Amino acid sequence: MGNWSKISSSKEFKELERSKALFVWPITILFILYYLSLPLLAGYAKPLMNTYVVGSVTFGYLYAVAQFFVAWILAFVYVGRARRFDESANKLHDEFK
Amino acid sequence: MNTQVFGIILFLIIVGVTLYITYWAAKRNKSTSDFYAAGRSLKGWQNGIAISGDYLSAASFLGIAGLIALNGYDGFMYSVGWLVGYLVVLYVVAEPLRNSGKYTIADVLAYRLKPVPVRTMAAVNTIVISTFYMIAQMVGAGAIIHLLVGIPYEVSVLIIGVLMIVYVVFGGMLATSWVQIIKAVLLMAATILISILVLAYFGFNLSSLFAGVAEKSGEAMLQPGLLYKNPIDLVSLGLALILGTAGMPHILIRFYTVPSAQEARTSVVWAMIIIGAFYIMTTFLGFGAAYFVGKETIVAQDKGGNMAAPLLAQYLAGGPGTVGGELFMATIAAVAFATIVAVVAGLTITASSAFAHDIYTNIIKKGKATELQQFKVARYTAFIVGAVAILIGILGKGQNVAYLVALAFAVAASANLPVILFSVYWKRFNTAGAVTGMLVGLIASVGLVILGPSVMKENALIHLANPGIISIPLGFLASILVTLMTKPETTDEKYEELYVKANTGIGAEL
Repeated sequence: MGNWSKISSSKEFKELERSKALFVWPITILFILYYLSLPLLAGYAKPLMNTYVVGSVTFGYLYAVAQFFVAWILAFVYVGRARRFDESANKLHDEFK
Repeated sequence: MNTQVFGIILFLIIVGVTLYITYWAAKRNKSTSDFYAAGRSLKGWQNGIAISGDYLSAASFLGIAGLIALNGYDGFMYSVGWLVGYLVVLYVVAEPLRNSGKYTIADVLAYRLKPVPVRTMAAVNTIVISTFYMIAQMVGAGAIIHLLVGIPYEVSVLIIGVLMIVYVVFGGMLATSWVQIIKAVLLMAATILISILVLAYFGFNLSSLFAGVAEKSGEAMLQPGLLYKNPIDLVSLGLALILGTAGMPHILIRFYTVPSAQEARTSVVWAMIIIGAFYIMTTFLGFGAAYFVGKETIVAQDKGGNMAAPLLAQYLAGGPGTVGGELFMATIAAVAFATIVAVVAGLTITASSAFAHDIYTNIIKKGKATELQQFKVARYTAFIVGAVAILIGILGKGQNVAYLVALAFAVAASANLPVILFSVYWKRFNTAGAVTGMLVGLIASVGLVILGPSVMKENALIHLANPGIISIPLGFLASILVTLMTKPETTDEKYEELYVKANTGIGAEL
């Protein structure tokens, strides 16, 4: 494997790197901010969090439970995208064997 | 039938099965790759369940159920933080780590930076984090088992310690993984069963459960504010949880047990489904206990609320003094025991790998130790780590160590995560930046806790229980600034190698 720099400077690898970064970082950072909104709302927006939405179920509870579902959905989104990244990586693999 | 006998039989079954697994694993445990990484033989879904078993501690099962039973909404909000970190693990850490490392986090850092300083510092951090976590587990375990079964504190610490030493020393990562898998299945089964029983009573109507809790324990149970008075402190804790998971050594080394980055990916998704489902169900455990058992009864048994889930189980199966009630409580005690043992075994193997693989093999022996020597040292180390854990557990009797879990996450987020990310994603990053970043992150998070209310109580110099909001930015900043102030690494091609490897899996350790 003496051609690391050849791979890293290849057009295909640069493309893979770019599409990966553009996909991974925005979602990660937005998700962190989204999660931090939960304690912030609980601290500074109590009336909103205490609002009853369905019967005795509060907005605050639904907002917290939604975090689990958003995390799961994003995990599946990642798996879908990662398969495409795998394809590009396999191409590189075959090309530079 | 005497319920004590039933509890003991259940306990012996768990011990028997896990020891048989250890015997089976010991026959396969022949090399360092077997010892540290289960020979990379696990499937993604198996590793995902094992990660859940590694991660869901007794503190989650009994502690969070208690927090929710006593504080309602705030306890549940806290439990959300325990899942979200896995998204960071999945998106930016798991695959590069699997592709570019061998057995430990330090492998990834040492790939293109100067091996001796970064390995030393990374191993120190791993040992510190594992120690904090271990103390919390051992001291908590002794107290919980004493509460549940009535055996003396020291005896329960000793039993847990001896068992984990046997699993790790003889069965290595393979036995540890399967103990964690069994434990995850037992814990989930118990949690699902209790949740269904609670929900069935309310006709599977969430609103009725909430209304019942509000009626019994006050409407404040459904609202934030019972537990956390300071929102900034809570954000600080949240930051440590979401960023700390991706720096937790005992979670990260589990990715080396699978054959490829794809399997590592599958592991995280499985772990997220199990862990997420578990934490959603903690609401039913906690609210169920608040409704059926009542706050007064829970607090009378244990101020921290650790008895909420066991008392709820006892109530649901017929109540105190009935055969069913006592049997279900004994079952929960056995599950709690299995839970603790699986977690401490994972911590033991993590600390051992940092000592044996990073410090002994790569620093003292400069990578020139024979396979047999390495394997021997790894097992000796595991034995010593286990013995030290028993000692710490016994010495820590009666101490309030719950804050150590949050501290472990804060250290992982402040000292480990920045350097893991920069090593993989930042070409200009260098050794000085890595070592300073790890050092500053460690000192800042531990220092702030020492000066804060957890240790100094009312004389605290800093009114922040969780250091994350200060120590995490400090860890990142120190890494960046020191890197920019010092010369770049001269080994650019090493970075290219790491970067291509991390992104494509070409040439990853098999």
